[in-house]
Parts: sequence; C-alpha cells; structure tokens
Amino acid sequence: MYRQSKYNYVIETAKEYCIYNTLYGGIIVLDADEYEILSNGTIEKNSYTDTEIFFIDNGFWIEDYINETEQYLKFCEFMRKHKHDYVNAVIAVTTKCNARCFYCFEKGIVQKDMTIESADKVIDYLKSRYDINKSLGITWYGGEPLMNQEIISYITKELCKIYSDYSASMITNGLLFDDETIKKAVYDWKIGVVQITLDGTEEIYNSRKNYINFIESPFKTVINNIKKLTEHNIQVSIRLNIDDDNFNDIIHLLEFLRVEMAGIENLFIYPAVLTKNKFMSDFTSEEKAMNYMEKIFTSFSDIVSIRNLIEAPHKFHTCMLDDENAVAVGTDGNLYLCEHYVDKEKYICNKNNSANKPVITSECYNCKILPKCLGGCYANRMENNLYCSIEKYYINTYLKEKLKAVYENYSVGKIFRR
Amino acid sequence: MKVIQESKKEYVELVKETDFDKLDDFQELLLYMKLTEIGAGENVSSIEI
Repeated sequence: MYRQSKYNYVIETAKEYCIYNTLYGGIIVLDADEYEILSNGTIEKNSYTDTEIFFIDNGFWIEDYINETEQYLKFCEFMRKHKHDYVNAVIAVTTKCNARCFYCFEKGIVQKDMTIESADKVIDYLKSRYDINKSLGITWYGGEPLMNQEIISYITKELCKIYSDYSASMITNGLLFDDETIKKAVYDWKIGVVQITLDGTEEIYNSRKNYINFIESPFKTVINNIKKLTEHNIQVSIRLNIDDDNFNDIIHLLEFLRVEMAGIENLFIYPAVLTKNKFMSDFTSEEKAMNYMEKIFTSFSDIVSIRNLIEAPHKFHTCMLDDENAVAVGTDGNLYLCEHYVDKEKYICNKNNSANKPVITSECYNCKILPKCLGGCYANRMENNLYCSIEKYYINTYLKEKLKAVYENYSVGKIFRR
Repeated sequence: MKVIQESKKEYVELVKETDFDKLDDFQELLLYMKLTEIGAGENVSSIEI
C-alpha cells in the first residue's frame, strides 16, 4: 500500500497544486483530480498508471510501512559517520569592529585581535586535521575581520602550504576594502565569496551601522566596494537584515540595488529576518517574517534569490555544531561550539563535535521542512529565538515564484510535460 | 501532471530502502561510495554565505 510522502510540501494555486518533495527534490504540478489520487494513495495492485509509477519512483508516494523520518535521520547519521573529506573552519581573527550595530550578538565581549601565538595554535590544529583527501574551507569572521589583515595573511600562507584544495570566504561589513585590500583578498587570501550586510538605504544604513570615526558616507563606500569585489570575480552575497523597523526601507534599498547593480554578475542578494537577542526589545514574529518574504519575492524575484533552496540536497548536519569536520575558532585560538559563541569562555569545546547530534523536537519531527533544516539553529534555540531554518519563511513564496517562472518558460519548451 | 523537476531517484531508492541498522562494514563502505557517486553529502555545514 502506498501513501503520500510526509515531505510533500503543497501550495495551492487557482486551479492547480504545486507539490515539492523536500526530501527528494521533485516538483510537480497537479490538477484537482490528480491531486486527489496523490492524496488518497493506493493499495498494492498488479498494474499502475504512468502517473502512479511516477509518484512511486520519485518518492511522492511511499510504502505505507516505511517511517520516512526515521529512515531520513538514520541516513543523516550514516553520512555524518562516513563523510570526512573536508575541514571547515570559521576563524574570528578579531572581535574588534568599526561598526556598532544595535543587534550584534557579540556586543559586550572583550575586543581584541588574534595574536601570532594564537594563530599558530589554529594553524597547528588545522595541520593536525590534514589528510591528502581533505579540502579546507576557511570563513574569516570577527568582529570585523579586515581589522586584523596581517593574521589573515599569515594563517592563509601557512595553510596553503599544506592543503592544496583550499578555499576561503569572509563575513565583513565591507567598509575597509580598498584597491590594495581587494588585491590581497584575491591573490593572497584566495577569497572566493564575501558576505556583506546591508540594513537599508544610505541614511538608514549609516544610522544603523553607526560606524566609528568615519566621515564620508559609509553606505556609498560599501556599495562601491561591492562593485569592485565583483569586478575582481569575487562573489558577493548581500544579506539584507530585516526587522519591523527597517522593512519599508529595505524595499527602497531593493529598488536602488535593482538599478545600481544591474548587469553585475557574481552578486547574490538574499533577505534574512533579524532574530531576537538580549539587545533587542522586540523581534519579528514567524507570521511577519513570512509576510515580509512574500512581499519581497513578489516584487523583486528578478534580483533576490535563495541559493539552491530547491536544488540543494537534503541536509545531514544541522550546522557546524554536529559536524565533526567543522570548527569555530576564537581570537584566542580555542575552539568554540559554533560561530555564535566565539570568545565566550564557557563555550570553549576544544574537541570535535562528533558527539553532538541534531536537536529534533516533536515539532521538527513532524515538520515538512525538516530535510532542509534538521532542527535549526542551536544558538537561537537556546535564546528562545526563531531557530527554524530560513527556508521555512520563504518556501511558500519561493515555490509560487518558481511556478510562475516555470510557466513563463513553458512556451519555449523548457519543461517536460507528461 | 506537469513535472518541473524530477526527484533524485537514487536517493529515493537508497534512503527509503536501506536498512541502516543491519549494514556490515563492507556494506557501509559500498553504500557510502554509491551515495558519494550520486552526489549525496555536499558540504553544507559551514556558514552559508
């Protein structure tokens, strides 16, 4: 007997149903009659229709005796046990920062740079993880990592002597890039991706970032730096930090970016709802978050994207917390639970994370987004914050937009029709 | 029915039909090789930027 997969995520349009299987990645559109067949399942029989065979082969129908969630969680455990062909390290080279964002979760920690001695500790650790089959991915982190460039150069140089398969990215506010730094980023630090946060249009951005000792408009400088980085083939991810106060201005920012960044490749813009922390009195509810995403995707689907949401394989790690191959490193060279906890002494772990497992609550267990999330952000969960994966807030809208795009392409035969 | 994107059929087969509790070491190795071959286990655990 076959029943509908638990992971069939359904959105209803005027006359049709769009179904996305979040575990296996298939997307189909059914009319009402076909949807009824999918929903009802079937008993075992001698022959099946083509549609039914498609449902079975593609995981939209599952044998009744299979517990999909248990199987999926065992698959994740299997992959965590066996996949060790990479090492990822998020390295905080400084906790100093030239911005003073009111929502920063690092607010209050001691501001200091990583020293050469601490850098040596990091290098020794990552050398100890080396294996000829392993790649190394570094994410430079802070504070503002560009405030300690010497250490980035030092660590990169040493690690590149060991790891031939090396890649790097950086999370920065982007203000301190100049021509010389960009050259260093490309040639010395081998940076392929940079994430820069924009909080609003010029006035709002300058006010929310509240930079120290900066006379000219930081907004203009950062926009200019984004362009320069892309010209040097560095991919820039612009993260739009959204909360209830700046949402309307983010719409204006997107209008600005649509014109200002037109034709630029290597640019990726995505919205993210700011989550609560102890420095924020209020926070955006799940309902509002979904509403914001819908407004953004409906009006700006030409420039805003969610990387590989549909195409991405299902997860087998929640995050670095349950990943033996991933570590977060503080300025003292110690290992921490994850990047949310760097330089917070009680979260030093100095051991691998293989013992940690995803936190799957009963809510998660029954959630259709589980394969995209696997329990969400541990740090946010501990803070009673929105911890679900960001996909939860934009999957509905994304699928609707995807469907629209698909229909536009349909006339040119890009879709396989059955 | 219109198919926008087919599922990864190899995943469907392997994830739903494998008895993960009863694999010996050799079977585990074979399964891992197969999963790697079909692109399972992309590295997604770093900060997604």
